[in-house]
Amino acid sequence: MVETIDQYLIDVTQGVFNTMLNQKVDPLPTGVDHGVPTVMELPGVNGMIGFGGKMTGTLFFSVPEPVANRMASLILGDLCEIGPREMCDVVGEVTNMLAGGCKSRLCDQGLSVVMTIPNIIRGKALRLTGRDLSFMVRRRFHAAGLDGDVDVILMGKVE
Amino acid sequence: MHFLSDFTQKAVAEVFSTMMSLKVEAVSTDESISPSRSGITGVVSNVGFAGKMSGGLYMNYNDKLACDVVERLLGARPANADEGDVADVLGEITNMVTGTMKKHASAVGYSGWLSTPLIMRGEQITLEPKDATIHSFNLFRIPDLGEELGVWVFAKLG
Repeated sequence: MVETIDQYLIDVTQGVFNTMLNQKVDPLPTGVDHGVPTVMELPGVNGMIGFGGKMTGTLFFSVPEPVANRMASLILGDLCEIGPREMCDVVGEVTNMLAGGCKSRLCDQGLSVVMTIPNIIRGKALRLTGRDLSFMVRRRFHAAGLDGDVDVILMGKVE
Repeated sequence: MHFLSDFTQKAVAEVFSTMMSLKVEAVSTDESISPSRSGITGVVSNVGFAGKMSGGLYMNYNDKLACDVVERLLGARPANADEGDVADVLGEITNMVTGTMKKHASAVGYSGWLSTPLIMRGEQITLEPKDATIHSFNLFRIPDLGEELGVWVFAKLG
């Protein structure tokens, strides 16, 4: 199961970054974690979407703030000045697309799910733990064109 | 008051009474739409919900209240709010409150599913819901503990 989800995260993340940002992202060979964490640190800007249904859990898209700013500049270009609101809007939209891609693949495998609305969470020394989890997959990607790494995390349980 | 605020207040009162024999008093409700809620400290527990109503419920405890609640439920006080028991208890309480709120919402046509509980800690935590048309902040006082509890619900209907 975790290997399948790991591949979903890779496929979906590469697809979303290619489509939305025209950027190539590469999964880092050492940047994968399949264990259920005791505590997970979430630095930077974090998009979060919950799942309910045959699988319940949460998807996170965790981005350092400078990378999030570059993403916003790429998408919004000269349309407007890039501030915290625009940065969070872009992270929220990318999180939505990542979750939608995962949802589609899960549904194809018979695990029908529905998604919550996105939420952006930020804070100093922000750390998080989950309860009632049976799996967690955390994948780190290097985005050369954005000069940084991003994490995509899916944690949950199958009902 | 939006029905979601009403259902949230009922749910918090019901769960705290049933599980911990604690009376909670609703102090205030704020339904103004704000891009973000910031400056949050302490422990924030969350359960999301999706379906005919989609969003998330967040409960904010200061460290003392978090430990008080665990002591009340388990009979032993944790050394600090970072201990594993605190996350277990607060996650379960949030699960029950959100489930109870959702039960009331389902009765009026807004059915859905819950996600799994999350517990966050940090400083100057900011919550920024996207696409939420309903914002509800409910402040409660717990007289027996001399503490206040904040509960946010962000949601979209349909």
